Amino acid sequence: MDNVRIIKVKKSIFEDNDKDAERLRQQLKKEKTILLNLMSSPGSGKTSTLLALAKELQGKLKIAVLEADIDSAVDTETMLKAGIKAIQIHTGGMCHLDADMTRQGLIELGTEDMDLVILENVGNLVCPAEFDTGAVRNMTILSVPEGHDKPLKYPLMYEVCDILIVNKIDVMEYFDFDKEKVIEYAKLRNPEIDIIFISAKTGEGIPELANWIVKNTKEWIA
Amino acid sequence: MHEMGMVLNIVREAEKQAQMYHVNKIASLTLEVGELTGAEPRYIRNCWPAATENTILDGAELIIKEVEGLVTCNDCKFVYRVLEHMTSDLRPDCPKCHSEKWTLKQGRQLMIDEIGVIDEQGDQ
Repeated sequence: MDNVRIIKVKKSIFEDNDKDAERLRQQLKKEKTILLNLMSSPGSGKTSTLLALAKELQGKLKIAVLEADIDSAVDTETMLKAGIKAIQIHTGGMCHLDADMTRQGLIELGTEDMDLVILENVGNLVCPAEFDTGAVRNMTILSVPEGHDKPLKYPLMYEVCDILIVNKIDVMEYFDFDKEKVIEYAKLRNPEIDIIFISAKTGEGIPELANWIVKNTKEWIA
Repeated sequence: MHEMGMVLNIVREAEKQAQMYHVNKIASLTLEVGELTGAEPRYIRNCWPAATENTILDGAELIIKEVEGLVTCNDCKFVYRVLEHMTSDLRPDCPKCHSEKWTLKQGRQLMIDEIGVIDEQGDQ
């Protein structure tokens, strides 16, 4: 008879990825590049916000975009058409990126003379929040039609993010969206979180968001 | 599917442990799943056979220990299970003082607790 022996492991399954993410951050610090991880549910306006931002940041920061998708290249084509340096990473059916996949993407993208790389993560509010990608700052978009109670329903997303971008404020009057409540709920989960209201469509709030990015980039590469 | 990524991480870790302890067969793996992680035990079980196929965990029994999500109230220090004490609009609600501010005590872990390895006879 074979004997079964018990080995105590007591190890978080996120531990290796967390360490790898930290190594990637240190490397980015040396290279003086900031990596921002942009997360949201599908359809909240990540791509259109990026397009508006790239325009606003022109001449201020050298920017590139890493597009993560389960399986398509639509967003990358949109970026390239707008003249923005971008590549696509396919997650191969997975709903999130980890630090190693992000590193591979950055190598392929070539980030030597870039100040800022924005990772457009897979549209999903659960999994991307659990895996550290190695990004320096985490950002999340919540669009008005999704409702102001999202921070209560997906607390981890708001806990790991440095900034909440509320998008589509141009349609606020058509929805039962409470601006004060979204601030209250987000701060309840994360008192440190910055909150900026924008409309990627009309451009409202985009300069403020661009300033936030410039400020954070300067802090990082200082 | 998000549990799939987690199970693949478990497989990777188990393979590392097996190498470290020089074992080539794992009979069981015990996983601690906190109820405040985004991981659903039944989905982890569902993708277990596919994710472990042809790996060191192929055929290994998965044992899941669910861990309650406990928080400490910031105001009165009472420890309570946060999912049991929420208002109808999902706000935390300390059963003692009704504060909504808390600090996590446990329940967000996804951790390999132990593995049961088979030492084949005459192998030692």
